Amino acid sequence: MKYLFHRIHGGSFLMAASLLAGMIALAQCGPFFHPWPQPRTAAVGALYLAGDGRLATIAGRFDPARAEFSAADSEGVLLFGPYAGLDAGRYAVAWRGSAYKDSRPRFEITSASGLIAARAATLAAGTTDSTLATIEFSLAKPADGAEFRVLVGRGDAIAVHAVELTALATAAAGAP
Amino acid sequence: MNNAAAPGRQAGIVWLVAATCFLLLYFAWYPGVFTLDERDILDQALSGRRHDGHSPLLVELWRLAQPIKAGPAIPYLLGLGAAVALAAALLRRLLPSPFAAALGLCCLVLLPPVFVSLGQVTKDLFFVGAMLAVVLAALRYRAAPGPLRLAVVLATMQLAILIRIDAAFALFPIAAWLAWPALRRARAAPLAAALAGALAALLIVGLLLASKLASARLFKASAFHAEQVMMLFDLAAISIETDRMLLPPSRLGPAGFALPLLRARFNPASADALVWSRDRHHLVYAADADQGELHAAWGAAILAHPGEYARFRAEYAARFIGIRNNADSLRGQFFGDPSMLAEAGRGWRATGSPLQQLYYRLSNAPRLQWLYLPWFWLACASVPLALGGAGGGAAAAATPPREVAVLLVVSAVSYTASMALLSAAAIGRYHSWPRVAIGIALIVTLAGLAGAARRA
Repeated sequence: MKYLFHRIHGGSFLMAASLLAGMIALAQCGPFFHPWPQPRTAAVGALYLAGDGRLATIAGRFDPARAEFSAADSEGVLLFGPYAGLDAGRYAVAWRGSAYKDSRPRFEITSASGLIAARAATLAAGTTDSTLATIEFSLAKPADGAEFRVLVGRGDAIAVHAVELTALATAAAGAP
Repeated sequence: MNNAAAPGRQAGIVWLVAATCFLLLYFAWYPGVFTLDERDILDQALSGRRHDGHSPLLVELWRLAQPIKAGPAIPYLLGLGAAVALAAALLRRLLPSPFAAALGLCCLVLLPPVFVSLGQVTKDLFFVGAMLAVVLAALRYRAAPGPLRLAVVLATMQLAILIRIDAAFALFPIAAWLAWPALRRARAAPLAAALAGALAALLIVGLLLASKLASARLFKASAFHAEQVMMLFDLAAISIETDRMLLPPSRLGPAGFALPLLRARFNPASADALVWSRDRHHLVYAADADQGELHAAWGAAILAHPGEYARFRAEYAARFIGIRNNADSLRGQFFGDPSMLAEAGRGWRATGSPLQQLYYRLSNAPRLQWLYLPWFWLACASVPLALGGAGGGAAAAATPPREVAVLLVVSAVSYTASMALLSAAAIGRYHSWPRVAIGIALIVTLAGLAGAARRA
């Protein structure tokens, strides 16, 4: 140990310490990039499209021509993903798609720490290219791995082509 | 420097071990992990239409290799052979005995992250070889300066830049180190350091210009403007942070790219989902696009939003070195690109030997993942950095190995820092040179400590 101590050279030791300090700062002071501006005086959106690589299906299939995930008479998770990181705040999620039969899918918002919000919807046959369901929710602290899931039952026949996540305004100043 | 006179038979063990390591690696990874970049290199080699987005020198190498054996086997043979042989030569020069050099080489190439880096038939592998050649040439020049040795140093530096243009950042500290003794002799240290830095910068700019000239005149390669992807990435990040679309309309692609779409797809660790997306929505990254408009938009965005730019680049730097990011692509790339399988009928095949599978399992073991992350290597780099640096300089007739260890570490850190600032994807192969350079520096430092402790 004594030998090691004598080998340490002032200038290069300072460089080594700076390198370590820089990495510790990057780890401890981040994340630095925030996709959701804070504070917000207007709503800010993110649009996830079927086929963009962020959303996926288990019980359904992807139709490339219509760019949608669809399920007919299958049971399970029609849609999951995109594993988004969300800051604390108020959000709204809207699922867009079509219902080909009378269906009762369940819409869920989850994160790495569990279920955040859920609702069941009743969709009438012939609903095309419209909002299937909307859920508003609040996060008291940041959430990792947020998913916007759609679960279907055996009698359901629906398709989802987009999920719109909106971060609602947080600041009243200047707002109408 | 201290084992040049080792008896021939003893010295031969280094080359025997080097050959064994090479064969082990080559057959473990045969025919080499092939990426989309190499697909583009191969397309250029076969079509004869060349651009400088990837090294025109490597395009020429692939062109010459294909008639002999289709696929990456010959380029991989040359790239891996050069990297292993030059690492052996450097270790032999820096370690006290041929046995130590042989043992050091085994430790280096079998270390899982280095083993993975040496499995890729990418320009990064050739870059590792070129950088090792530069360090060896620089050591020979510092030991006995002369015009021929200087020419060899310059030639190897030019080779490194012809392979990877961003080699400039790894070469800068080496160029300054070469200039230092002559400048230090007659001047105070701060002035000598400033002059060495200026001289190194001039040399690097000269080499970059020569590389551009060689690409255009010698290899007849058109300008590709590879900087576009970095500019698109920065503009997308600033647009998201400010909630204002700052990307030029001509870059939003035929299907458009609204701000909510950009926010949904943006990943601070990689621009891939924006530029090479699975659907019709992608930003335009093309040689024939309006480069002036993009440059102007990028410059204006940084000047108008320096805080947002700095925050985004800080986050990218963190992800680039594996902080808040342990993606497979950062830890190592184990399997050939799907485009490799498309060529299966012509004798190509995917990699997948038992040894490679073993290293794959190691890299996915949750308790070992940190070993592959660049922050761990940079933390290791602080050891040779803290313990080296003393001694050497103008008065030294031969460079002490610990000074070379510091040089390797500074080159690796300089390269990593500049790539964190200028690249657009946190992927493992960008860390090939830092892994090899820091690995050699650590081996040299530990060997020096062990030897000195034994003597004490």
